[in-house]
Amino acid sequence: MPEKIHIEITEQKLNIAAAHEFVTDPAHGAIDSFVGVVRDFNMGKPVEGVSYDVFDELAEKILQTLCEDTMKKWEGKLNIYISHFKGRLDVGGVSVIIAVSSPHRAESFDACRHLIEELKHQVPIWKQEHYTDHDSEWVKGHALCAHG
Amino acid sequence: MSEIKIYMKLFGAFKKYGDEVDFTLPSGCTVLDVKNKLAETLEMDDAALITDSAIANDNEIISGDDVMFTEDSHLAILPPVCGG
Repeated sequence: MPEKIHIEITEQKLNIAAAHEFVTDPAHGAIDSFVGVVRDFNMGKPVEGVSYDVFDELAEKILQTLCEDTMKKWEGKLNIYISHFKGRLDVGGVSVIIAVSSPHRAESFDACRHLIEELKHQVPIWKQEHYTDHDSEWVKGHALCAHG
Repeated sequence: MSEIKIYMKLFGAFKKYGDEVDFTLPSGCTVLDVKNKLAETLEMDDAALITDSAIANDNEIISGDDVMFTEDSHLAILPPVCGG
């Protein structure tokens, strides 16, 4: 079976079962998945939710390039599923799912870690934390321009 | 010198100014010109946010001092990212 890539930005609840179903492959003995979840405390402040803003058109293109580069780095023996939420989530809500399958576990672990780290640095997604005192703040991130 | 119209989508920390703004600039303007005009249009006092933000269209991030905009353009301002 040829290697597969699935990318989506969605306002629907993310589905880990769908991720595993997509990457499952009879030739692959390992599936590694990363699930990002909204936690209740950040930078010394209690959090009640997070809103995710996404530049959909460019985010999907950059994710596609990231997945293709990851395929090359691990010589193509991967299936990759990435789904990122857009909108508001309460604490415990799932913001991102990355699932990677490969013939052996090392490639899945390494590629999955690579994908989430690069997603955080390259993809135009922003999060605004909402605190229990009703204040809100955009989280400082990684600059996409040469000045940052 | 002719003028061009810039239609700028706003994301992240720029959302407090709305979803999109537009302004005019002379044809041949650079990325820096666009960022400076955006800051002026929004009456921003956060110079670091403008400096650390990138300009993009729907297909790619646009960078480089030699890039010049010569026709009406649909762009986006991208503050530092933090997905996941």
